[in-house]
Amino acid sequence: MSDAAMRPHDMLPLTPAVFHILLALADGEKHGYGIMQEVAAITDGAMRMGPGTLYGTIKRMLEAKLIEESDERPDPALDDERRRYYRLTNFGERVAQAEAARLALLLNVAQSKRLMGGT
Amino acid sequence: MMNHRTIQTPLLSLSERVYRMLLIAYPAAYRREYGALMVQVFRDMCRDSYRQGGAAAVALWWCSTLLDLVYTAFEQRRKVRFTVSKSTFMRLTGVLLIVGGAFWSLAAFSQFQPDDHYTYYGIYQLLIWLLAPAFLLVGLGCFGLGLHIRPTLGVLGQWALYGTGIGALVMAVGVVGTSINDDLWNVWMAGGLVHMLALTVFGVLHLWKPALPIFRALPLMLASGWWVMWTSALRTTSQTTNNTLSFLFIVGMGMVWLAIGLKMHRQQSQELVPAAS
Repeated sequence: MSDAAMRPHDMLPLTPAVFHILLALADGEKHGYGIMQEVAAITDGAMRMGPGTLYGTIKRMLEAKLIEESDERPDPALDDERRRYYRLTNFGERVAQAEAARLALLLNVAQSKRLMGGT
Repeated sequence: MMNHRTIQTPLLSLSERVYRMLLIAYPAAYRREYGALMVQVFRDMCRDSYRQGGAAAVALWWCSTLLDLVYTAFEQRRKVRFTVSKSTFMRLTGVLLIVGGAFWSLAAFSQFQPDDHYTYYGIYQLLIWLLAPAFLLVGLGCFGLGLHIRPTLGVLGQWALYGTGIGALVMAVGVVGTSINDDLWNVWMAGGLVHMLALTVFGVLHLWKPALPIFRALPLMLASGWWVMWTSALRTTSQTTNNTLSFLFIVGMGMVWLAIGLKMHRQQSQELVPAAS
């Protein structure tokens, strides 16, 4: 199935692990450990995926064509050849955007109902 | 830069070796595809933890990794419809008992909850997150042991181990059930009683005719631990003493299951060498 034939909204809502990995890859390709570090950084350490969750989720995302393996090495001098790098597909990027829009909508509702601190 | 890759200590080497061994819990195809990558990530995270907080941080990383391993291995096995053959199940026995024993020992820290023990909060939540999976894994491991010892101890020995396993599985249900309804504490106790009695029978049989690659009195010593726990619960002294004794007994039991698992795993690995060469 081509990217164009797949509808991002069919994938929603995403699980937290999938969305966090999409976010981690949004600014460039990364290997597994890089994804874990990025996820820990963007959640301020609150989400720390184990190797099983990480690669189980990556496997599902590869099957759903949200991400793909990359042959390129951002910095070969500093890297281990055995590592596999992953990057967002065009479809994965559209799914991430759709999920972000869905969450933003919910956030607006929460704000309007005064459920957010300080509003 | 990349400093984390240069740290190497016996603790990190051992951690990596144990984690690599535990990957047997995943289906073979999944292991071939992602096993090496998972070990690599595990090693990197271990080094990070060690650099940030020493051995204690590595221990914490191990706790979350063990939970992650149990749940994701179950998930991956479920996807391949649990096509576990009898021989594979027997081969998994060691790993089931190693992980179960480790969970069991770690769950002992729940005994340091200073107040009411009948509601799951604070450190007592370890019972749900660690002891229930431990009972489940040890229960399954007992079924695997039952398949191993049949030629030596016959049907009685095999069913004594099946009874031990059934008791452990019932306890797992009881632990989780108690979090929903306090009355299900009785299920936990019933499972414990079945487990203890069946383990005692197996312990006596094993003393008479050792069938496992372990010290012949070890199963009976394990059963004795249960008897002591069971009876000392009726003779309380002080809360602190009880908590410490319970902690020691639970850690001890977990370590015994872990030791049995290690021995079984080593024996199975040795048996596989000639076949592979």
